Amino acid sequence: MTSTALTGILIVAAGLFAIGLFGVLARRGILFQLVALEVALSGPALGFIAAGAYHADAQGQGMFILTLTLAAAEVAVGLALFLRIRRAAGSDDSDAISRLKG
Amino acid sequence: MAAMLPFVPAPALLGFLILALAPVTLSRGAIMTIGIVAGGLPALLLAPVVMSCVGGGCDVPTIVPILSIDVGAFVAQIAMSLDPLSVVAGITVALVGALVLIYSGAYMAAEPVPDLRRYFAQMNLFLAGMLAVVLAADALLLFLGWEIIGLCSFMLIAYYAKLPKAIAAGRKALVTTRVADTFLLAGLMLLFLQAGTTRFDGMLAAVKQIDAWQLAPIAGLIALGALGKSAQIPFHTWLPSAMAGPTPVSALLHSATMVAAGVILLVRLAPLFAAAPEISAGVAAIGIATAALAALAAVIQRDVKKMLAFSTMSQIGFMVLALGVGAPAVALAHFAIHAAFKSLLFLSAGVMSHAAGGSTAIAALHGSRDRQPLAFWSFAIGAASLAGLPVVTAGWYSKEAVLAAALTSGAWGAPLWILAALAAVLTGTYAFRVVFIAATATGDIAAPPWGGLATLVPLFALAFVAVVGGLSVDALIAFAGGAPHELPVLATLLGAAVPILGAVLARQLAGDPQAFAQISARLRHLRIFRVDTLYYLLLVRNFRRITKVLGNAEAREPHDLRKPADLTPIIDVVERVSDDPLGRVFGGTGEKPESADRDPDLVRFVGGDPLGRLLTRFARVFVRDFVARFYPDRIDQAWMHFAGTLGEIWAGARRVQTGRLRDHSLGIALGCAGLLLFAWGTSWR
Repeated sequence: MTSTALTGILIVAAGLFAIGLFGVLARRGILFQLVALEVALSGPALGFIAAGAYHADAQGQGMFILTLTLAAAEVAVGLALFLRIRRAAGSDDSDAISRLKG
Repeated sequence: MAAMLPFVPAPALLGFLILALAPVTLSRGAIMTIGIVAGGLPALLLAPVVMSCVGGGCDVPTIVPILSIDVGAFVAQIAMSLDPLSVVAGITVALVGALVLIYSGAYMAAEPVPDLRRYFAQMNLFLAGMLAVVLAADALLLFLGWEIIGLCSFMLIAYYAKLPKAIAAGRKALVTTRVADTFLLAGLMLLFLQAGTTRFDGMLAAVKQIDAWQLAPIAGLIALGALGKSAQIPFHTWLPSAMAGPTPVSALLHSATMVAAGVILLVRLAPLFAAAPEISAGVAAIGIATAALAALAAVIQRDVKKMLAFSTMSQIGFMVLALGVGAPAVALAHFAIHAAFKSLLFLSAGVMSHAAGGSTAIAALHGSRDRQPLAFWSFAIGAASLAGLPVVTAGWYSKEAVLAAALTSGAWGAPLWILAALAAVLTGTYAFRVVFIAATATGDIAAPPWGGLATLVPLFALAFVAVVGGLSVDALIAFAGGAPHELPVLATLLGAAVPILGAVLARQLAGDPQAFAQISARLRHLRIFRVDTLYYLLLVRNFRRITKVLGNAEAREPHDLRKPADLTPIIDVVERVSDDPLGRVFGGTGEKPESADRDPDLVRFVGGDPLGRLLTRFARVFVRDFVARFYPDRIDQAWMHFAGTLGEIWAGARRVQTGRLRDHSLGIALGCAGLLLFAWGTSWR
């Protein structure tokens, strides 16, 4: 893999992360925020793969597996929280749960 | 075998934890079983260790580390030591503790269950603390145990919480020993700074390198601390009033353990005192003074427990004398023998006074021989051992060793010996006076049946030691590393005549109550016995006075119910904050500063006491001329203004917290971005 290709892929990874972050910040539905979080996580994962391929090092793939596990765990917890919040607050609007307001 | 050592205090500690903290209600039988078993196990655990030492198994000290705390370059070790001192003292403490707890099972049987539980919990904690003191190989563990026994003695002396006298006695013991403990802590810290280790072996090895002028204050402070715990002059006042506690408490705390802790510490640090001869001389002087004066005071007591308290002070004085003349092994031997016969005396006195209707007055013991023959004879054996009847009792051998150590101690040996022998005569007198009074026949021999196995076993065991233990004194001294003292025949004969002379004197006193009453009335008015009053005049009163003047508190002299006219009116000056104690004093003294000094009340309290007067006056001048100048405090006002602005800033800042998930996420993202930028900026090449 050439360094040009690496730069390109890293730009794509940064774009993925930015899209995910924007989704988390801009959307109010909790389910969509979770989806956006997954998108955001895929950015760094892509970056690891690309860097591993560029350096010919298996550690990049190892980190990808780790990120995948992390994402799975996060989704499990996130979905459980989503269900609980829907039942407790009666809506899936994340702005509705703002009792930590100062 | 040495590895068993850290587990020795564990059962007692466990017993305390169960009794004090377990959130279950225990029945009377369960409390007694736990208390007695937990108090008896240490002796059983220690016994095989002691057996392994017989025949020179532990002449070389074995250190058992328990815990190391690394603080930078320095390592604080908590360890226990297996050496002659810890073995002799440990088995004495554990045995006496076990026997006293067995006896307590009978003595305290009628107490209400919650009180009984408190009693056994505290006795167990006390035993654990004392074992920690005697087995400790480092200053940390020793000080920990030292403070535990101080606290427990307070709680146990004040056991009868409904009696104001008991509470006051407990508080007195606590405060007095706290003062002494402060000296001890200061001394140990200084020693630690010089030696750089908390272990005693390291400390004693470093003694040679310490300059004499630094060593003397260290040894002096440690000696003061130890003498305070051992109730030596001038800290002795707490011991006689400590008899307000139950009799088994007196038997445990004030015969074998608490007061002996100071002696144990001095024996443990004997090389330190050997290197500071002037301090040793002071220690010897305090010891002989306490031995003689306390023996004199014991003769005139009307209460058998108080008599025993003074005799404890006197006997500890003998031990301290032996330490001061450089014979720690002799002091240790006398400690072990004294622990046996003194607890025997306390326990049998408890039985006798119980049979005499619960009164501890000596006069109430008339006819005890007919009422409680067993208790009487064990008391007589204890008294004979205390007086040191020649050849047949253990007390004679250990006391002879102390006298011999005093006589062979150099230029001051002969005067010390004479004083000590006089004290021994008085010892015989007070010990046998009670025996002779208790032996008189009386018509009233209707004794409540009381006794049983729980009282008889400790009495027999201790009486056996008090008689036969004498054969072991020489072995004990040799075991603890002391050399036998060769004495002239004349001194030995005189020493043997001394207790007999005392007994004859006692016969005279007991046979002639009027003469005794006269002597005791005259002696009671000697100022030397009124150190308590002196303390009150010098310290307590002035302390109250100053706190009152400075804090304008409502602390008043207990027997002065008349309100001082000029001091108390609180003048609320309008522009001053009325709840500020300093402001009130200015209000009062600012109006009439001169009249306050002429206050008849004040003059009456500090009159004839230049020190207290000076302090009070200084405090007043300080407040009026110095503190008052800063009264509308500009710095304080500036701070208050600053604090007020902070409130407004906070009111604005709290709006940032919207509680919305998205805003929090934005904050996290911006923070991470900032961190990345910072990392990028600092790693830029």
